[in-house]
Amino acid sequence: MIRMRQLRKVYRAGLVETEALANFNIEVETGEFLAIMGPSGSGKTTFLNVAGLLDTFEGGEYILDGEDVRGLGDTRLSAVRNRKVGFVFQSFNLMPDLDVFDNVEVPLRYRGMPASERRARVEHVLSQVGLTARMRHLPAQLSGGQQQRVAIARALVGRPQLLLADEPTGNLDTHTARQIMELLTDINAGGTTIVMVTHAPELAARAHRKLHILDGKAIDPRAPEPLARVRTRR
Amino acid sequence: MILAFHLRVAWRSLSRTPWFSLAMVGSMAVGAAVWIIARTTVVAQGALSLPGRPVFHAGLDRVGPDLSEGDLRNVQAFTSALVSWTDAEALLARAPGAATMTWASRAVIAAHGHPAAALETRACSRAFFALFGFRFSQGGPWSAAADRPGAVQPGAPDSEADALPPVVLDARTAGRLLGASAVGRTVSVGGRDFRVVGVLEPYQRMKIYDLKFIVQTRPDEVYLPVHEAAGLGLWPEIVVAGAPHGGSMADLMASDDHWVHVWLELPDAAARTTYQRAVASWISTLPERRPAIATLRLRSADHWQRENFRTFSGYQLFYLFGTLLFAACVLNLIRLLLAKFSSRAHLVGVHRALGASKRSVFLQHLIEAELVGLGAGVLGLGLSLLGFSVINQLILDRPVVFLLDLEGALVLLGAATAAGLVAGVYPAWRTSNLVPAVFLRQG
Ligand SMILES: Nc1ncnc2c1ncn2[C@@H]1O[C@H](COP(=O)(O)OP(=O)(O)OP(=O)(O)O)[C@@H](O)[C@H]1O
Ligand SMILES: [Mg+2]
Repeated sequence: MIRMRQLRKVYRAGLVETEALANFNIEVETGEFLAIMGPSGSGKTTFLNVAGLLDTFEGGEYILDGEDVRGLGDTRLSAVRNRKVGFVFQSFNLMPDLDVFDNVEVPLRYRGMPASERRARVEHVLSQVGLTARMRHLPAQLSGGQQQRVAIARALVGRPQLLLADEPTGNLDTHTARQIMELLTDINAGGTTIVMVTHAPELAARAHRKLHILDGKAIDPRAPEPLARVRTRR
Repeated sequence: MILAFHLRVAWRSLSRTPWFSLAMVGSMAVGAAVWIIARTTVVAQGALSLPGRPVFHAGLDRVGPDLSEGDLRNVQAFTSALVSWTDAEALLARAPGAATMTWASRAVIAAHGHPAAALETRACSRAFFALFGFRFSQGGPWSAAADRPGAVQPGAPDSEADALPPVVLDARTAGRLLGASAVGRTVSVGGRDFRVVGVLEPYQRMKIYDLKFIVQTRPDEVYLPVHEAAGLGLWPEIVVAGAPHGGSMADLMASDDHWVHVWLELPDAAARTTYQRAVASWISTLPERRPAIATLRLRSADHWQRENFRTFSGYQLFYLFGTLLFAACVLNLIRLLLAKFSSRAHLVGVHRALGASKRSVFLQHLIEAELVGLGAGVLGLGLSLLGFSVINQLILDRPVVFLLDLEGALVLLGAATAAGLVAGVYPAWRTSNLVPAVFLRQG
């Protein structure tokens, strides 16, 4: 699903350059549930943004679902993002002035889907996350856990192959976090590839595979060599 | 369908910050309203609205002393524009259709129970009103018979009413002297009684048919048949003196002083040629005169106005000020939109994450700016109506009543729409081009 080779991402702020991802290699299989861990500032969010086509990269190669994304125009990138990728954020990022239904509908709007089909899809996905009763509530009228379920519904409504979640439980208490985690596990069981950044080891433990990002490099705990390098650094 | 969604997003964004949106719309509306008022004060004086009538001014060029130096240049313009009474009669006699001679004067007007006032008075014939597209709110022009010398004999055997010579008043004078219904009432002009036969609609556009408008902007208020004005001895406001004479009205009419404007309708090129030939053959019969008449000079109403008239610089200055204010409002809107858009950049990042292209983001924000522009246009219409009534009361010495006509309203809406676009393009472009990942970090 995701394949990055020697990918490089540099942030420039004035004269200062920060190499957020360097010689970054990763492979995520279709249907996989991958948990990403790593210290703050190591490049986890940067990786998700590049993977979700929200950010550009300077060097290397990125193949998303068999398509080389280098040199794609904005319209194509936006369409790929709209159809293939769903995002879930730590801070939910719901549109505060749209109610639950309208929030979930947004990706379908950008796809130009007819109203009847939109309605059916939104209602279906809301029942999946158990929020049919709250359809006409505004985000501010929901609890944190409910808001994150709306965000997950919004990410799923377009039936993406890939779900990218950046600390989806970071703002939630452990009980609610566990519920969200169960929801994500169900979704993954339905065939959606999930890449989730988390700081919580017990949540990461429920993924198929764990991967660490350190100083802009992906370190697979199963691969002995990079781990050794990390040790020598410490 | 996607446009409807963009519109909805834009509308939500505006209604999320109602006071800020109102401030944006309000400040633009004020700018637009001031601008349209300022524009109207200039346009209303700059256009000789003669819908579809081929009206020409007939003047006579002369050979004589060269007057093109310095101060005398005006005099030369005047000598070729104005003709003597006898020349005017000759020019009119050869006119194929509607034609009038005319001059400006000032006469003391009094109406029953109202104090006398010296008003701008115009001597003209019946054709004058049609030539210049005047419309009447009451009554109409006087009859063709009233244009003939001695048409009305005081004390004629008819009813007393018919014995009075006719007069036409402008809307403001009629309202002031006689109230709502003026036709049929009697006013005294220059000490003689006249019967009001018609009241003109309020002036919306200044009509330039006399050189007097070069030096003053007060429109005509009282209109009299030429022979009645001559009979009253209404001395013309502009006279280019020829040989000395006695100084009475009769002396003036017999002299070769220049003081009469001649206007006539010449429907096509053939009529123009025929008229030019007829006048040329009349000129060839004239005895020697100094300065000698050389040729007929026909000027279209448009040409005449461009040649002789410029709007009083105070109004021009007002227009300039209004335009600058409007431009400042557009710049301010750019600033406000930039602030507004960047305060919401985070949500733009979310939209991008959900699949919005740069184009969609650009359109949404341009539409939002355009909504502000349209709102400003509509609110500006209302404000300008208010503004017009204020300005008509503030500027008493104005040539016309300044009004928002259909053209003005459309221009205002068009300008506000354009301003919304102009102000929106840069902020919308900038917002659509920021990297979504950077936006999202601001959440
Ligand atoms: N817009 C930016 N300009 C400059 N540097 C940036 C920018 N965004 C991120 N960085 C830097 O890139 C590096 C990686 O940041 P990133 O947000 O990916 O870390 P993270 O692993 O998600 O951290 P956290 O766990 O705290 O969310 C950091 O050093 C950060 O300071
Ligand atoms: Mg992060």
